[in-house]
Amino acid sequence: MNPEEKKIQELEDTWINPPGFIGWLRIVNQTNIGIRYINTSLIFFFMAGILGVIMRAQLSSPGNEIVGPEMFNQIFTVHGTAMMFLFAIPMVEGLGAYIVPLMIGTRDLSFPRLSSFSYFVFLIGGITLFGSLFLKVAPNAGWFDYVPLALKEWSPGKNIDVYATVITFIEISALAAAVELIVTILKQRAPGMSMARMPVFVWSILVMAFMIVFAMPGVVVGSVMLALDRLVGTVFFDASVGGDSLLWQHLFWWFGHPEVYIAFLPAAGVVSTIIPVFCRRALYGHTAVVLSMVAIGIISFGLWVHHMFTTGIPDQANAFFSVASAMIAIPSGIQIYCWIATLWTGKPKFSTALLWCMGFVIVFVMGGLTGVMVASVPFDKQTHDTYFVVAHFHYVLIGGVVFPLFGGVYYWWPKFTGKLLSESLGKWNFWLVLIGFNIAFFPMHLLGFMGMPRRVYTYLEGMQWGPLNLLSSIGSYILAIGFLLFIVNVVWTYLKGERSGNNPWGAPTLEWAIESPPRNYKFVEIPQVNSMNPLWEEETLLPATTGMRTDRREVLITEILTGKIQAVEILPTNTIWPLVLAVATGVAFIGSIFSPWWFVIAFFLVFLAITGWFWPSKPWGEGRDV
Amino acid sequence: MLVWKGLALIFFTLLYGCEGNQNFFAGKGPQAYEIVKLWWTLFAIAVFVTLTVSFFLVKGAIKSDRTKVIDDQALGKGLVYGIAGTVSLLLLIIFSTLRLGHAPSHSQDSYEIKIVGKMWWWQVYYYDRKGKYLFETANEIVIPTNRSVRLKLLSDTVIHSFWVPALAGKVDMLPGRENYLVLKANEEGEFRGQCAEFCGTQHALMSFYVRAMAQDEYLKWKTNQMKSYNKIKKHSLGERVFVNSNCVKCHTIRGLGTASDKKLYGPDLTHLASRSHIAAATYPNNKGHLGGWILDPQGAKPGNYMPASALSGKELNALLAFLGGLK
Repeated sequence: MNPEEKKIQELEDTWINPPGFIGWLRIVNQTNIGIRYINTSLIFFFMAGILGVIMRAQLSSPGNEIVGPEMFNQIFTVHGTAMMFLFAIPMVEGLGAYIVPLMIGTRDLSFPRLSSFSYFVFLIGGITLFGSLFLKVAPNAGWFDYVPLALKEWSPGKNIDVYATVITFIEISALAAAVELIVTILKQRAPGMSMARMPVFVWSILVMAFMIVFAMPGVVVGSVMLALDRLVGTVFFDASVGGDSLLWQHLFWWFGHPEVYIAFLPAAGVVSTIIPVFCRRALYGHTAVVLSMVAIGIISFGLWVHHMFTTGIPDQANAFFSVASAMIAIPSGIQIYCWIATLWTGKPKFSTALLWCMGFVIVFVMGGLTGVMVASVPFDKQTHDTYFVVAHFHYVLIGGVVFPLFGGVYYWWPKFTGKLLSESLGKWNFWLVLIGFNIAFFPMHLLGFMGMPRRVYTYLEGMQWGPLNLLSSIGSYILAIGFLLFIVNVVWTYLKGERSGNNPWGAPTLEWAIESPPRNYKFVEIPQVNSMNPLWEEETLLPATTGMRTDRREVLITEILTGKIQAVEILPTNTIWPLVLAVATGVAFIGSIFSPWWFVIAFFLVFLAITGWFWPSKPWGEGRDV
Repeated sequence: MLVWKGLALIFFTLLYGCEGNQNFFAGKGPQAYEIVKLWWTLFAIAVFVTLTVSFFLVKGAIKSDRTKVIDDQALGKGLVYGIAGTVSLLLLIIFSTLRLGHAPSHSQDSYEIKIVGKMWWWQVYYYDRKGKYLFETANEIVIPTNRSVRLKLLSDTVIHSFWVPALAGKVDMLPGRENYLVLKANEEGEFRGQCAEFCGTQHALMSFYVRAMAQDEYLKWKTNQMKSYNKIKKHSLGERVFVNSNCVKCHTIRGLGTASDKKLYGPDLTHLASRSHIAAATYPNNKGHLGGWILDPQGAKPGNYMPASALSGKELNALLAFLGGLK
C-alpha cells in the first residue's frame, strides 16, 4: 500500500458511517443528513400535493360532497402548512446542507450532531402533522391560523394544539440548521475562497440562513403565546379581556412574509448556478446578483403589513408597506436581467435542468407581476383573500421555488447518486408540469375577479364559478401526473440509469471535483481556491496545506472575509444522542398537547440527553468509532 | 399558443358576458369602479413586462447568431435601462394607487348601519341620522342609491371580512376593533357579498345581499321594518309552534318573542318574508327551501349552529304559513 492509498484508507476509516439500523440513526455525516432532508421533504411535498388534488376534486363542481367542510378545512390547512414548513424550508435547508460544504471545499458542517438533531426534530414534527390528519384532528384554521378562531373558545378540539406545537417544533429544527449553515459558510470555506469568490448558491444559502435567524423568533413567540393562551389561559389574543387579535397577525407575518423569500432565495441561487453551467460562461453580473439577494433579504422584512391591508390599519401605514412591497420588484428584476444576459451571451444547452430554470423565469415574472398588483392597496382590497391571491402565490411558489428546486435536483442528482436522471423523461416531466400548472392556476385569477373567496369548501351553482373550477381541476390532475413522472424517472434511473462520472455537466464549482457520490471525507486534500470558478479557471486543484491528520475528523477553519487559514477544527463522530434529544424534545412538545405535565417529564429527559451529548469524550482518541 | 388564446377568450366572455353579481368588474359603486380602472393600468403593465421578458428570454436562448461578441459593458447599459424601466413602472403603479381607489368621502362621524359578523351570518342594525337605534335585521342590507352610507363593522365572534365586490373593496371585522366602510351604489340592484376571511366550518356559505333602492322606496322599506309583529288575539298554530318549539330560543320576532340564548343568537325574523334569501343568502326564500332548512339545517350547511326541529307535517305547514306572512 503506497502512502497515498494508506491515507485514503485512513480517511475512509475515520469518516466511516456505522453499519446497521442503530448505526443509521447515529450517522452525523453531512451528505447523509442532507439527502435525508431532501428525501423527507420531497415525500411531504407529494403528500401535501395529494391533498391539493383532493381539494381540486372537491371544488371541480358546485355543491360537491367528496369531503365535508370540516375535513376540507383540515386538508387545506395541512396542505399549506406542510408545503411551507415541511417542504419549502427543509428542502432548501437540505440542499444547503448537502451542497454547501462540497461547494466551499470542506468535509462536513460545523456542528454535525446538531444537523442530525435538527433532521430528527423535523421528521418527528412532520409525522405528527400528517398523523393528526389521519386521526382527523389536524389543524383546521388555515396555515396562518388567525386568532380568535384558533383560540380555545372557537376551536375547542386538539387541532390547533397540534398546529401550535408542530410549528414551534419545526422552527427549532429550522433555526438549528440555519445557525449551522451560517457558521459553516463563514468559517469553513477552502483557503483562498474569499467572500468575493463565494459561489452564488452559497451566498443565497447564507442570506436565507440569516433570514431564518431573524424571522423565526417572531413566529416562535407567536405560537408559544398561542399555546399558552390555549393551555393555561393567558389572554394575549383575546380581545374581550384586553388582548389583541391583530398582534398574532403581526407576529405571524413578521415571519410569514420573509418565509416566502427564505424559500425563494435559495431557489434563485440554484437558477444562478444552473444557467451559467449550461451556457458555458460565468454568470453575468455576479456582484449585482449577490447584492440583489442581500437586498431582497433586507427588504422582505419591511413588507409584512401587506397581508393586513384590509384590517383597518391607517392609510399612511398601508401606503408605506405598499411602496416597500413594490420595491422588491427592483432586485428581482436585476436578477432576471442577469439570467437573461447570461443566456443571451452564452451557448445554451437545453438540458432538463436549464428548462426548469427557463420555465421558472416566465412563471415567476407572471407571479411577481400579480404580486406588484396586490401591493397596491385599493386593488388588494378587492383581491385579498380571493382566488386571485391563491393564483398569485402558487405562481411565485411553484414557479419561483418548486421549478428551480426540481431543476436543482436534476442538476445535482448525479452528485447525489452517481447516476444521471433520464433527460427524455425529465423533459416530459417538465412540460407536463408547466402545462398542467398553467391550466390549474391561471383560471384562479379570473375566479378571484368573479368574487370567489379562498378557503371555501364549496360554492353555489348560481355563482357561475363551475366551468373555470373544472378547468382548474383538470389542470391540477395534469400537474399531478407531471410530478409523478419525476418518481418514475427516479425509479427508472435507479434501475437503468447511466453512470455520470465526477463532472457530467462540466461545471465550475468544487463539488464537481470529487467523486459522485462523494466519499464521507469528500476531499482527500482541502483544495486551494484562486478564482471564482475553480474548475474552469484552474488547471489542477492544489492542496491548500499538508499535514492534516487522517485519524480524526479534521476540517480547516479560515478567516471570514479573505479565506486565509486560521486553524484546524476537530469534528465529533457518530452518536446516538441527537436522536435521543430530538425524541425528548418531541415528548415535551407533543405531550403538551395532552397535558402540561409532559413538559415537566420531558425536561428531565432533555437534561439526560444533553448530559449524554456533552459527556466528555475524545473523538480524536485512539479508538475508532465503530 | 392555442391554450392562451382559449384562456383569453374565456377571460373576456366571463368578465363581461355574464352578470355574475359578485364580480368586481361590475363596478357599480364609485370605489369598485375606480379599482376596475386601476386594474387596467396594472394589467397593461403586466402584459408588457411579461411579453418583454419572455421575448428576451426565449430569443436569448434560441438565437442562432452567436458570433457577435456582446461585451459586458453593453450588458451593463442594458441593466441600467432595465432598472430605470422597472422603477418608472413602479412609480406609475404607486401614483395610480394614490390617485385611484379612494373611498368616497363622508363628512359626518355618524353611521347609519352597524353590521356584526356572526358564526356564520350577518347581524344588521339600522340607526337614524342622529344615531338613534331603529331596528335589527339580518343578511340583507338595504341602502338608498346615489347616497354614501357609512357602515360600522364589528365582530363579536372571530374575524370576518365584509365584501361586496360590485360596490367596494373588503374591510375586515375584528373582535375588539371598529372598522368603517362607506358604501355607495350608483344604481338600483341586488349585489351579492360574501365573507372573505376564513372564519370556520361554514365560512364558504356566509354570504349576504346588499339591495340598493331609490330613496323613497328605501324610506318605505325602513318604515315597514320598524313595525313589530301584531299578535292576533288567539294564537294561530304557526305562532304557537314558533313560541313553543325551539325557534324562539335563538330567534326574535319583535312583538311575539325574544331570543333568550345570547351565545346561539340567530337572525331576527320579524320581517323574514321581506328577504329574498335564507340561510345567509344561500337558498332562495320560498316555502320549499325554508321547510327543508327548518327540518334539516345540518344537511344543508353542516356544522352551523341551528339544530334540526322535529315537527309534524301539520305543524311545519302552519309554521311556514306564519313565517311566509312576515312581510
